[in-house]
Amino acid sequence: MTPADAAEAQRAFDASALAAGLGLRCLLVTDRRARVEMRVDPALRHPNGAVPGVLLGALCERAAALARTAAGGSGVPSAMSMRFVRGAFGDVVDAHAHVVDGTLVTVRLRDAADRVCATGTVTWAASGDAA
Amino acid sequence: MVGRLSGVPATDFRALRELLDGLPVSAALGLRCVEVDHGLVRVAMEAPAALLDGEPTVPFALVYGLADAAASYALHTVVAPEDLHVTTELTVHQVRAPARGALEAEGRVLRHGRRTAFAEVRVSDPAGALCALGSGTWAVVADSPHSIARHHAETAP
Repeated sequence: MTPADAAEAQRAFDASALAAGLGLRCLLVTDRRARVEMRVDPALRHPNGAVPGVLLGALCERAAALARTAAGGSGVPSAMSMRFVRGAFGDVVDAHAHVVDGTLVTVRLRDAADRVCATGTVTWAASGDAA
Repeated sequence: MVGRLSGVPATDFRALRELLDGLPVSAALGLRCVEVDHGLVRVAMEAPAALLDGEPTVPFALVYGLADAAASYALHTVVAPEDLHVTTELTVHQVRAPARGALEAEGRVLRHGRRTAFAEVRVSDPAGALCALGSGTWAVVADSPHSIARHHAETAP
């Protein structure tokens, strides 16, 4: 992936409706990795201040999909599994996605205190194919 | 209430439904409870147009969120209001990418104990066809100051 390709992938991601609506921003994309930041609207947090799991799931999937696309894959995921390690607090959550192979991407989410709050794996049915 | 974790009395299901529909994240994602019963919640999602690009299908990111919400909401019907339940693990399989429109998820509690609960969820597309199914585990934290229902009761006017 050339710097121009990366810049274009980053621009396209940031311009998507879902990214804009959920406060997602691409910080980095390479051949096999993507880093996405989510700025959490304080109004959407749970009463205890935690970021809702619904938003963490969306962040995880979007980061994984970006990494897979950068690696040359396409199609929609066939499954996503997440483990929620601890509550995510603060106004920012970071997702680091890493392409393991053509159909598997792992994601690690860190909250504003830089603590791992969740991990995820996203799989596609076949390289380049839809589920 | 029969026991500590025996759940919200049936007469409270209407209040529970209002509580869940009133959560900020429900409004943001277009989630609305259509049925609340003991151990079972059906949630409809009409994703806001602002979250959708020109794609003909609903993104899996939102399908997963809907599944998580439906299963978590179902836990609200069996866990005592003063207790907190948090998702520890959830896997959702996408059978087919759903067409845009109102999706519906049915979350069902399979078993709940004093510390752990298990639930499953099925998501249907606008035509009623199965598009995703999942299952997960929730941790139950007894008598938590962070219980959403407790917080709601304490802050309600």
